[in-house]
Amino acid sequence: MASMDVPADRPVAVPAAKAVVAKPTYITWITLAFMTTSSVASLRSAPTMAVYGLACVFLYLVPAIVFLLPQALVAAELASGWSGGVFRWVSEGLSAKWGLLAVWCQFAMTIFYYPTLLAFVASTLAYVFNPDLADNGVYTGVVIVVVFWAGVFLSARGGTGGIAKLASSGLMIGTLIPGAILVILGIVYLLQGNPSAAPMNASHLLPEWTGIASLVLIVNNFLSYSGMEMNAVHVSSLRNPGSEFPKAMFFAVGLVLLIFILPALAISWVIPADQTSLTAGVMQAFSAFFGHFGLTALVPIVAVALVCASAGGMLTWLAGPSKGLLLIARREGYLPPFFQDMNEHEIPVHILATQGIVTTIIAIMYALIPSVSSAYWILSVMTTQVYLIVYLLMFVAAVQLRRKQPEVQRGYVAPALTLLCVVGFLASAAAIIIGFVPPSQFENGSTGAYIALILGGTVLIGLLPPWLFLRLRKPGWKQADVAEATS
Amino acid sequence: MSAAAPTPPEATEHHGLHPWIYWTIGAVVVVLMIIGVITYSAGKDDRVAKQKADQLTQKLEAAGLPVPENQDTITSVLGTDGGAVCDNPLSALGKALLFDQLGQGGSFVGRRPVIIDKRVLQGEALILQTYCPDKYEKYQDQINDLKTDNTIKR
Repeated sequence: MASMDVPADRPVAVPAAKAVVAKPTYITWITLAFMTTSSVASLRSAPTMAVYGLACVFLYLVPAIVFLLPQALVAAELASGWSGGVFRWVSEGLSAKWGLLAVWCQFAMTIFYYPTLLAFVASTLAYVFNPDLADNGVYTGVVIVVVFWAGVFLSARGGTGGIAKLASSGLMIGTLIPGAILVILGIVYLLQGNPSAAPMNASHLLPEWTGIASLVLIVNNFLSYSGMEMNAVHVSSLRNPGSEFPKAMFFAVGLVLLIFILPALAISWVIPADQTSLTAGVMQAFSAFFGHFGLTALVPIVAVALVCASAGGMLTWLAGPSKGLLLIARREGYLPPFFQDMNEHEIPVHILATQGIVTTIIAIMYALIPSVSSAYWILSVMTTQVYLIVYLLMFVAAVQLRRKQPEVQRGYVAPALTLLCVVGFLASAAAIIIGFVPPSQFENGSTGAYIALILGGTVLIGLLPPWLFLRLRKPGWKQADVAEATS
Repeated sequence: MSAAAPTPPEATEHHGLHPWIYWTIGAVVVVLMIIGVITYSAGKDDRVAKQKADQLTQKLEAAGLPVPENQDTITSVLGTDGGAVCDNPLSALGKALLFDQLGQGGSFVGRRPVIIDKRVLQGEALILQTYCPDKYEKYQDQINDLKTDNTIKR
């Protein structure tokens, strides 16, 4: 990354992109907390984690201590001092080039995550309306295109305020209410005198220790909390960012923990670990759960609600990283003027549209071509490695900012920041290292080849594009007025 | 360099999208739920379904796996034909979902595969064997290639 440290060219005062006077928008801190929660937590992982029974509490709490807490507290301090999100923190703490790397890594991750989300949406709807549809390529393609482009349209037209409303509604309808129903029914199940399907005694508090597989399981769960920092890009939409962002963050932390732990536990009380079908997806576990109570009529309602939560989460991811990329592209001139264009809601429409075309192609291949879907998990591993780079940079930048810019007034000052950053950095680094351990799908290949593949992919997706942006940029791409305004 | 905490500029309250868009989205959600309630069919709860549920229970017990307290749970989900489990276990989308479900981590971003417990795959294999044996062999071939470990405490 040596080239990252080359000084930027002097800006020229040429308006590179269409000038738009954006009207700032306000949202409440509770709305931002809901947005953050909807970007991170949903019930989609509940059946997968329920198979671990009581140990799922451990599997969520340990990562919460070593990864979620440092991430949340550090992001709270940074967002209460600097607007703009991760690109701004890393740019100020390290350099603008590192800021570009951070925001690119955040953005690149999302391109490869949408296909899995859209496939989940298509299969969940098929489960309810007609399971045979899941075999129908036209149906899958239509659902992917309609849902994704509706998301792009709403992101482009809604601005932060519109996205916040839809994401909050999705969280309420698709996560909080069904989650509460699951937990209440689970408690009723136990109160009726039924034995829990998963043992709930002290000896089952810790997961089974089998060496590397258990380590992978524990460390991989750090990633459950990925994205808590992402919505900090909207911090300037709060009336009092300094005091309100930390409140939003702490509220979101509480919600995320409740959403992850309680519904998974409730499912583990009712459904034995071996009776969840992986190919029939999450809905099969919900059907079995509601079937036990004779409430199968709830299944289609919950399915549509889960789709709403997924779509709401998708909106926040469409709006967040692309906005960060736009901000640094305009301030530093790292992207051609075409990609710096934004509409009256400050939404980078050309970045979104380009991302949309790429995502549509990948998503359709993923859902329709068996060889692509079989190999897609490799991309998930690579892009997760790429995303973890964001955290490494964020924790280093936070320490640097305390040292270099102590005079900047922070609405919230994280206690023991250096310790938090060290813990968070080590947790992120551990998650990167564990990413090189071959998972279930990689049975017969060589470990060396697997490591080389993941490493190569990480460089190709995460490091090569920002390096090319820096190499190919032209002085005229930098917008002098934006640089002034944000410095 | 920032000299002070960000101060929001003069701004007006933002209402996001036009109200008709919210109403349209709400209406689509409600219509989908209604269609879902009408079209969704839980498994048939007849004599054949009960026989199949008994067969599955015996197979689960023989494999040393726990069985549900209430047999109705099996009949309502799997019916006579295995329901969604038998519908598309090996289609592109089914494969995509299988590999996605083998992952763990984030609900949105940050999800990646782990080394899973054999029990999680065994239950589904027994369901296929009981309800749609024609699809069992191919599924078994597929999961035979997966590396597993005992990560769930017995």
